[in-house]
Amino acid sequence: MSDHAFSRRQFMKKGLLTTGGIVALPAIVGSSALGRDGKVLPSERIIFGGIGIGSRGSGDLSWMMREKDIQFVAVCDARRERREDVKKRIDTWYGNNDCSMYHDIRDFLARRADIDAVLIATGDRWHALASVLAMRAGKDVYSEKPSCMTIAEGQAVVETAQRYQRIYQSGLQRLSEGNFTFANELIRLGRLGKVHTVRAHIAPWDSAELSHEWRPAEPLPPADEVDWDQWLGPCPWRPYNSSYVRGGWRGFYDFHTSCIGEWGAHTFGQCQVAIGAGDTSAVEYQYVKNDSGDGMVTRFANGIRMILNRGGWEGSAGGWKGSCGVCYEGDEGWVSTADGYAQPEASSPALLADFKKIVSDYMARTQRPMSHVRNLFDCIRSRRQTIANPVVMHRSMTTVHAANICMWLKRDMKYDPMKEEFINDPEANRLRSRAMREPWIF
Amino acid sequence: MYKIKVYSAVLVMMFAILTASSAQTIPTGSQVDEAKWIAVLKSDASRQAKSEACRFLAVYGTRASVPVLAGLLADPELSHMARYAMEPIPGPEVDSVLRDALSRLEGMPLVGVIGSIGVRRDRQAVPALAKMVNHTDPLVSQAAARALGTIGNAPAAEALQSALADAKEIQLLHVGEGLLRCAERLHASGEQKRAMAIYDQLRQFEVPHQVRSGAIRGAILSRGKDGLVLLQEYLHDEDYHRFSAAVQTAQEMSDPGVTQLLTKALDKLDSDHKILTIWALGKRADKAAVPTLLGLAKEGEKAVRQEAIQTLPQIPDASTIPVLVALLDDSDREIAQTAQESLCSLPLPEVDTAVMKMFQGGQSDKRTKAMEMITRRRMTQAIPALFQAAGGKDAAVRPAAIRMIGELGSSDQLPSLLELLNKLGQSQDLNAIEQAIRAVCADAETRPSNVERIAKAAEQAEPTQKVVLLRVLRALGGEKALQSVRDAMKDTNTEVSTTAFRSLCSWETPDAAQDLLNLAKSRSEATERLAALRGYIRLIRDKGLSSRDKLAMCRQASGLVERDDEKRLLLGALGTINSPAAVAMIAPYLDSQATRQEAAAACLAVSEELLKGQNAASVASRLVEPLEKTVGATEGDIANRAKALLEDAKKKAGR
Repeated sequence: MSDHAFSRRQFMKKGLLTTGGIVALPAIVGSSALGRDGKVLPSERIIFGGIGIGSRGSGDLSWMMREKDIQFVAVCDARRERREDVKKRIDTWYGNNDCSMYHDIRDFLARRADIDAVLIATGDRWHALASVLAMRAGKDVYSEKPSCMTIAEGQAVVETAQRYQRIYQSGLQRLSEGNFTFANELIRLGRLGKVHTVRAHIAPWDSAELSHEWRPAEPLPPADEVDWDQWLGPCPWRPYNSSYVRGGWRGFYDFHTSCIGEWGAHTFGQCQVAIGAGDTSAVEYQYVKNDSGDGMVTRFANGIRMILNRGGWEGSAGGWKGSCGVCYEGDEGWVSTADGYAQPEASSPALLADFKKIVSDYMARTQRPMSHVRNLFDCIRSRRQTIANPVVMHRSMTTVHAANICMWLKRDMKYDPMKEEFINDPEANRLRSRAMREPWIF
Repeated sequence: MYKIKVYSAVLVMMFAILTASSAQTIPTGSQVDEAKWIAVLKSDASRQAKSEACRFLAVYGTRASVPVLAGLLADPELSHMARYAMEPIPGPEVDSVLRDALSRLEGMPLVGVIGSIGVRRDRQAVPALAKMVNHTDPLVSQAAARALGTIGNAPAAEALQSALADAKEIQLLHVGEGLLRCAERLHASGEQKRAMAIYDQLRQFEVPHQVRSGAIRGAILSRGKDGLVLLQEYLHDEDYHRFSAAVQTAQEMSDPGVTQLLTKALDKLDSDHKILTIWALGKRADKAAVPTLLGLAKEGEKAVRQEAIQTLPQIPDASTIPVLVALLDDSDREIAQTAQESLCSLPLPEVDTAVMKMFQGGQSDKRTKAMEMITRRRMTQAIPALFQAAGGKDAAVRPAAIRMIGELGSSDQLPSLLELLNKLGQSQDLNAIEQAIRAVCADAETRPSNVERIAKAAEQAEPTQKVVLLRVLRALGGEKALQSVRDAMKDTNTEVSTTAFRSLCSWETPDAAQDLLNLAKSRSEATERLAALRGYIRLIRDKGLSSRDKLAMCRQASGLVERDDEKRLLLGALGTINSPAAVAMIAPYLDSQATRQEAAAACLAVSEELLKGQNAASVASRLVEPLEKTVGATEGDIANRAKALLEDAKKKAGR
């Protein structure tokens, strides 16, 4: 499958570079020479800016910069240390000193009309707001996951992308990986028979319960060093403590979506796309009496159950040997895969025989390569929907949020995906949104 | 006195709430008590405690909470949390409080209140918000424009439409956002004409490109079927933003007339515009686009041709097949390769027929290409034809055909492959069939019966074929296969017996260990003894063996090793045995310059594992001496690592 992906890249590069009638791809150019105001022709380099590039974002940045038809020219971060680190990486990669730094996202978006797209890899609390602000400013977006903190935030991302015809990709990169794609295609092709159950991996650490505690106050650093107000963004104010900004924000209600969101942001989306439920959410959630949601049974309107699992379960597939696993069970067989698998596991070796063909056919049919960032770049040019588009992100994250709310309120729930509301549960409905802190409001 | 008592009670209660909240994200059951949270807000409790009370009122608060929350809206520290609590509380009381606050707040609290009014879609607030669209504080005016858009009724739209004409650049984006929100709301509520008027106003106004794109989309879609005229207009627009907005919108439209507009527009477009249009046609997957795409695939600029060829599988249509087949012979290799990939991906049974026809034709290069497609399309129905080619006269096709049988087949093909083997003699064919037989026997479930069948075939095979089968048996392994190889060593044909011996020497599982040990002791030729010994030592690394068995094998091997090469091989094996006895066996090899490096590496590897293990304390003392010896025998990084382990061993040994 990588061969095919390469051939597409090859087309992008060679076609653009050598075909007489098409504008040749420019060599690395200084940002001042750009300024196309969001207009990306098929033959042109895509100009990127980074927002909140931390450890996860560094991986994204590396994958993206390796692609010859994009160029990073700016970075925005509330922390000076990280701004400078990322600028250094970008400048070293391109061999220039052109990467500009910004600490205020509004300033960054307002002043950089030349930037076509942004990579958003902030903490979870900022993913949706930064995406909305960037799309409103005319940028296309790659947002890390979990891409929204509430159901309402997800809705705003969907509406904004549609409103401004923006291309958006959520960081559900396994939707662009061979093993996971193959498993999904087995369902679509009917190879597992009628699918009745899918299993989604949730993080085997942390809890579904989240803390409201405040860590002890520390002296507030200058805004140029750490802009605490901006770091908090739409979340309720709390006193500054350096551990938050150094990655210690997980486990807090304001900043995190629990052990369910940590991996469910990936695996729920994978399962939902696999069963043709990428544009809806689970309708039933059965509360489980533990602190993680392990074993929670959810059900979709098409009757398929999605079970949340931290690791193993009784039955033939039995569990995963890697992270972010999914398992699909039909009346004629099952398939299971997770990170690090050489190939998926299946109820019968015969199911795996057509692996290469199935993945290649998928790529030809959908024009989606087995590279998540490549899929975004192709779509920025073609203006097509990405694989992890706003609807897939929002609907799968709705299932994440609903599962969390089910655990927090400790009762079974029913959800109406058409109306996007819980049925006969006012408290749950109130948890669909959180008032955003001014001025960080959609 | 009374006040002190109340404050004490509040503080105790506040502590109880915080304790409860740390254990549970949202309080439930008996912990739910609105009156207590209201009391916290009325008290001198800390900002944190009051924030916490607001969180819970957001879930459980009623109109009883509204007065106390309203009092906090002007408090810079708690204004947000007051809204946090109030925004989800149903009922007109909250709306009334928020509206009242519009006239008395300023700055950030005002911006927040406007946002909450928008979220609650309070229509009664429209007049007040309309006045704020031109507020001197840009944050206030922007928030008002967005809130009006979210409310989205006709008066809100009118206010924003009036504001658009005079909007300063800094406001344009937000007034545009407000108007787009309004138009969406109006369209959804059946007021198409109003929505259309907003979109038309925006698309003709100097607004940011993304606002104009959104307006173009809305203007086309809100017109229904009549939107085609507008679509056509923009498909001829020279401005790429407007053109691209139209093409993107076309992907959302199901009207068949859209395909016609897109294909007609293609003629006059340059390459970049053409490619974008081709992508849209692929996404729409309307068969009416196929003739145009085929035309583009056949001739023109290379990038456009390639994109048209790649798009064809998205619109499966049999008329595509002859064109793609013809393109396989294109003088440009990349075009030919793209056509082959597209042909392979077309989900039509007619492609299989075309591929079979190609395979059964005369030219070797076309047959080879057809075979690639047979495998890529997993055409198992082609297996009989592949067998024919595998037994045919075309030497260029034969080995490839045999390998394809391996790729496509299962153990069902084993009897036919064994039969075919007897007819083959050329080395490239024999190599291919060895791979094919191994491939069809890969399934673990059927492997024992397959081995049985192959072993039986080997007994009756001619020497040339028997050699192939012995190599297959070595790869498949198992007791039956081993016995066949043992028997073949006695074969009178030298090629057969030599292959059997080599197969045994490269056996992958320890069931051949005793055979190899015997051969290492008994073969007359020194080179053969050496080969058997090396095979024996390699087996010691097998992960299925216990440390005890591994040690026993090492002891056997150590009595036979003479050359430094085999000593080093043995040290590699010893380095995988987590036992002090292994370290003791390794230590003497530290004395020799030729084996010192491998001995040190093995000693450190085993010591490291043992010192990390549960029995570290009991084995540590037995590691001290070998590690001291390692420290003395080595230098640099290895010596430093040895010193660190020695320290650790001494510590754990209590020295």
